Amino acid sequence: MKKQLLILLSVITTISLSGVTSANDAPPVFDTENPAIYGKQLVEYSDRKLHGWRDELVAGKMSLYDTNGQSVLRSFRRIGLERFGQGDKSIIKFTSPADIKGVAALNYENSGSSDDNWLYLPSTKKVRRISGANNTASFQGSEFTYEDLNDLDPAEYQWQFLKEIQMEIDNETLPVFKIEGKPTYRDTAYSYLILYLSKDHWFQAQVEYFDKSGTHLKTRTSSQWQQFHNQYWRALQVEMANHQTGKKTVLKFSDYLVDLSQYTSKRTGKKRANLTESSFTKRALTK
Amino acid sequence: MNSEGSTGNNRFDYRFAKMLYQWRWLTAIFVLCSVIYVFMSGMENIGRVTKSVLSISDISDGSGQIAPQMFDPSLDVWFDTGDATVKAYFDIEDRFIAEDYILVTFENTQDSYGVFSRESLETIQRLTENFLTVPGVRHVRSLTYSPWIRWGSIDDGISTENGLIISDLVESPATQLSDKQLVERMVAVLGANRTAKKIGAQRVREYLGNNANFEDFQGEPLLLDAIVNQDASATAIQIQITRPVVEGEHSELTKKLYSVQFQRAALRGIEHFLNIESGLSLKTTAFQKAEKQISALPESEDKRKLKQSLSDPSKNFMVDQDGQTIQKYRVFRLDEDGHYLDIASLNSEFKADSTFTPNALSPYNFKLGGVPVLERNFEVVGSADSKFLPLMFLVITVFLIILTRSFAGTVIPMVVVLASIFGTVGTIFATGTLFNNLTAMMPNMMTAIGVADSIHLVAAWLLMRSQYDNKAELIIEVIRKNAAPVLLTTITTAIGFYSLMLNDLTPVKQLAWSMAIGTFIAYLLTMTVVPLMLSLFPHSKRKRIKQRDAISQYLSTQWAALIIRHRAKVVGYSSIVALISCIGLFFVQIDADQRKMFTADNPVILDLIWIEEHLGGTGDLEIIFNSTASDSAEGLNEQEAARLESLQARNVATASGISGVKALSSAEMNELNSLHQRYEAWNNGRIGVSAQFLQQVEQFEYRLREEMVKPDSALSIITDLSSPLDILKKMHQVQNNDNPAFYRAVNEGDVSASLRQASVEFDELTEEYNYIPSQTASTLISQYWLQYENGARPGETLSTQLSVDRQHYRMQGRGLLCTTQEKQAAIAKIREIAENEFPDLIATPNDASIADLTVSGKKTLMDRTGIIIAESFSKSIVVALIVILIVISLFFRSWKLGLVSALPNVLPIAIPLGFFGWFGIMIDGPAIAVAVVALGVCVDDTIHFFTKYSRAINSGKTVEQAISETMRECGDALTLTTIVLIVGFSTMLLSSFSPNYLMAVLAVSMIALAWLADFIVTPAVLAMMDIKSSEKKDTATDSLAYSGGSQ
Repeated sequence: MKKQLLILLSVITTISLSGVTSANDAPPVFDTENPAIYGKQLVEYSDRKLHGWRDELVAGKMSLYDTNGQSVLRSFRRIGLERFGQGDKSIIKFTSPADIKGVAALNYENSGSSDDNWLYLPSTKKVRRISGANNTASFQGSEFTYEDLNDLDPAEYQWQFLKEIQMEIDNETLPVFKIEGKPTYRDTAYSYLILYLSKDHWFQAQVEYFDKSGTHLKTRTSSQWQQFHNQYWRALQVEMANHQTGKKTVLKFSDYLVDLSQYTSKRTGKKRANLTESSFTKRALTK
Repeated sequence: MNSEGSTGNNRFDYRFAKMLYQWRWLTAIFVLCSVIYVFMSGMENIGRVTKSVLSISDISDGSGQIAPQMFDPSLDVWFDTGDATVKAYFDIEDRFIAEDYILVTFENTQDSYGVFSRESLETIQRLTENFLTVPGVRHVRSLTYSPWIRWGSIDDGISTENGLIISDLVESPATQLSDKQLVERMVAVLGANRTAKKIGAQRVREYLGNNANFEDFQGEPLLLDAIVNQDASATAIQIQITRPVVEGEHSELTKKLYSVQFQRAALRGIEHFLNIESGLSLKTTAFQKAEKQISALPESEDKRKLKQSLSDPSKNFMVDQDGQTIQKYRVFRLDEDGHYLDIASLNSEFKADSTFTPNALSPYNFKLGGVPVLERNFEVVGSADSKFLPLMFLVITVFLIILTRSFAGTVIPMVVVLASIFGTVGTIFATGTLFNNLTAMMPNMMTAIGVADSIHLVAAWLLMRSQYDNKAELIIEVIRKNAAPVLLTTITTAIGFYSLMLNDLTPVKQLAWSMAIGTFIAYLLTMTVVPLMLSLFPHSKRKRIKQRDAISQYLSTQWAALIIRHRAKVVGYSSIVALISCIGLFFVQIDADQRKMFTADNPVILDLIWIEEHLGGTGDLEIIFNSTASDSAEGLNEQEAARLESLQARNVATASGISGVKALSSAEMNELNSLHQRYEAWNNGRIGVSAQFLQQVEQFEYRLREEMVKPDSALSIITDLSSPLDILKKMHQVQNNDNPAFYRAVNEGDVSASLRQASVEFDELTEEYNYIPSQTASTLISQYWLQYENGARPGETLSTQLSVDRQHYRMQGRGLLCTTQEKQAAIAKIREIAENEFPDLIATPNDASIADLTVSGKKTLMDRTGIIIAESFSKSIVVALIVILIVISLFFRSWKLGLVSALPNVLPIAIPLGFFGWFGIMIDGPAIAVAVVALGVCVDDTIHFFTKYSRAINSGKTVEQAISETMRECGDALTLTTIVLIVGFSTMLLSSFSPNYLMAVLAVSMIALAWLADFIVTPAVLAMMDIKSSEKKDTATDSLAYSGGSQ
């Protein structure tokens, strides 16, 4: 119990510190001469810049389109807890269709090794630990893999700044950094990816994924960007198109709450509390 | 004799012939220029097609040399999209991701662990990783790279917990696996009993424990008999090749060609790694130099592209940093004499290299299988036959020299033939159509038509040279005599080909219209270029020709007398032969057994047979279950579903006594019931989550497996079955602590009674009540599917087997190479079992089945195509024959003449096919196409015979005299045409592709029989008709007013 408390305390401290750090973080002096260093600096800065959000709650709709454009819709709710440098925790709970309603997955990201996962099936009322569901596995049958959804760890890639270009984002032409990243970890489905990083807001506007043969496999396009608390950018729509199969998955988010402590409870009228580690346990999964 | 009288000179046919002669330069140049223009337009179009294919992305071998895309090797072109079975198959491809598999297999009989030895696993691991880097490869399934789902202890360093473990079968380097780890994997895949048989029960007990029941460890059905055989001596690496999605505006043809080339590139890449594994590829010096230079370049996008070119396994050539095209590897093959030949050089001459010895990474002999390999084999062997075309021209030329002993008689037909082929090729290409295996026969067919047309003019010219002093008059007479009959033969031949338009298959239609046009091109060339060329040769009256005339006259008179004497016998016997042959036609068996299409030493077929012997069949079998409710029941839309849930939540909440919730009004209750009914109706159609359906499928699969092991069953050709149920059963077992008793379809008893009631709970996070639906076997199945999809690699997802709406369920089987009849019998048996024992799984009118099944498969469809072609050709030939007989009747204004012409025309076609039928020899569908050419030749002969005969009768000759004169006049031409065509088609007897060989056999025998029929049966029939009757005489006189007149 003591140990758990200590962990909890350290987590909370880290979150607080990271929040403070990111809020006041001015861009460093970039080494624009060396594309490898420059690329890495840009991604690292973006990573720092986007952190500090503490926790979040969001409703999502996932549309899975097959090659003929036919689709099925699954709704879910996701809660997330930021643990900067240690790997975030999250729970995804399906809310529709009826036959999978209540299926919930708990994920602990582990930087540098495979994640810890638990799954709850309401029809068995059991939580099962799942091990080794690897990075390259599909997320709920969608075009996203766990590798695509996990936070991109700048230390796990070899970066290369390519060029600065203009890109259409939400009907605006904005400057973006085009950066190539080669994964250095083993469990990857990609030979490299190309990141389009917003110069003004530091979010990932687009990511192109290239399979192990170097062929363009997928493109992730994020749009309908919304800024929360004048700081944290969230895309309300993320589309992953598979160019080799013609399939795609579209995620649409709504009812975003970023940093719950900034909102008022509908029930009590008081400020909401932030989520804690206790919201991300096996027990929490069944609720 | 020197030409016509004044009356004759005023006749239309004479005036027409004279006009053609006078304007011969202009008409010939115009026709030739038109042919050249059409040909150039066609080639230009092909150039555009090739360019547009390459514009999608570079799928070449990198050498920069790309042959024009003239051949459409895709199999899809052979499928009749109007056919219900074909449509059902394309629905499968559309619904589930369309992809093809390539199998790389090898055996290890040396090691006690078989292919589970560390060395074999290391090879599999290396190849798997390499194959994943080949462009176009979507997924690889192998002994090292397959999901291994199990229940076990999970230790994350902090705590230990039991749970589901999903990993690759071999994650760490295979060489580091301990004996125990090897046994663990063997048991997981093979099951305990098979592993015990392989390595001894004691070693299995050391791992499983002394009390373990071996029956509880059945192995992995998804891998057993598919990736590894039961005694672990042979293994396959299954490589999934994507069908590329072509983005942007491109024609269907371009997309299709790109798709085929894309697969070929993937196959090249796979073979590249196999060559390296076998030590048969060596880096060239230029490549080694480029590697060093490129690695020294500063990091940039150009460097990345160059490095990608260096490592791209599908390209053996690349443009280096200096812009030079270099060869990356030398590739060696062992020839029959035991020498290694360098086969990758761009200079087509393969050179033996005595210094080369392979330095293999592993000792195995790899065999390749799969539809893309077979497709390529068809193209390679099929295109190898194109080398017979020049040989055919050469042989025809030699025979023309021997038979005509004249330069003109040799050159003129060949000019007509070649120009006709160019014109037809141009027409095909100009319309954006490419060659396929059927239209590739066009040059052979056009040769027959070109020779047949031109030879009559040339033969008449050779025959009448002695009779004319004036060259112009001679040529005008040659034109006059032949213009009408050659036009008539052109029309009847074109009708024959055009009748193929009745067919629904695209290649047959393409053959139909292109050959119909080609026939007219040959006619135009014959009537314009031939007179011009004849006029270029000096005119001489040779005595030798007169002497030959005398011999010819003697022979024809004797022959005519003989035939007339025996006319009743000839007609009688030939009628009997025709009748017997026609009965035999009913027994003709059409087959497309791919094993028999190639020679016994064809390496691809040898590999396929090896794979079948060791790892089961390579043929695909698709059993698709479609929900019967899918059309009638539509699901709720998003708003309706939300509304239903909200109403259900309130209903449950009020029933549970939760305060503050308003009870449903009666209108709301009605709305709830209505929405619920609609939801249920739709949900009942989701067979993929129906426990009842899946239990039935489980029993159905057991039943099929029972049949599969019976040697005398029609299903014995099926070697493996798999379906999503294998996954579901595994998930169910693992979820229940790996208890083997749960390796089965889910039933209602698997869901606890306490979960069957819907409930409402307050959600702290959303601060709203949350409705928890009742849990059933169906929800459990849905949740298992979701759980599986949450851990599977993209290449292993459920969407290739179960549609996303869960209304279509796919069971896949693998079958042995076998005859079409055996495949059809297996399909019939599957349907019979479903109809008699599983009526819920197959729809019959007015029943309440939950699903309907269709049985299909690409190879099965290919076989069926052969049958469709044969059937439609038979139909077309009958239609063509009737139309031709009507045309003949109209032309000669005699219905009797039309009817009797049937006998000599039917005989040559019916005899060989009837013979095949009576003796049970199977025929390839496309080979029957040649019957149309044979029919054309027969009809040509008959028309020429009738024309000459009618003229003779009309001029007052007796039947005997008329027949004798006819034989003398057109005998030479008919014999010449027959010999030339027989010799020409005989070259195809050298073909190693059995459909082409069979086509040659049929063509040669039919053309030879046509000659016999016209020299024996036609005169006998004419004699029987007693055409001397005054009535016929009048008719003939009238008809010849058009068709040529008397001399």
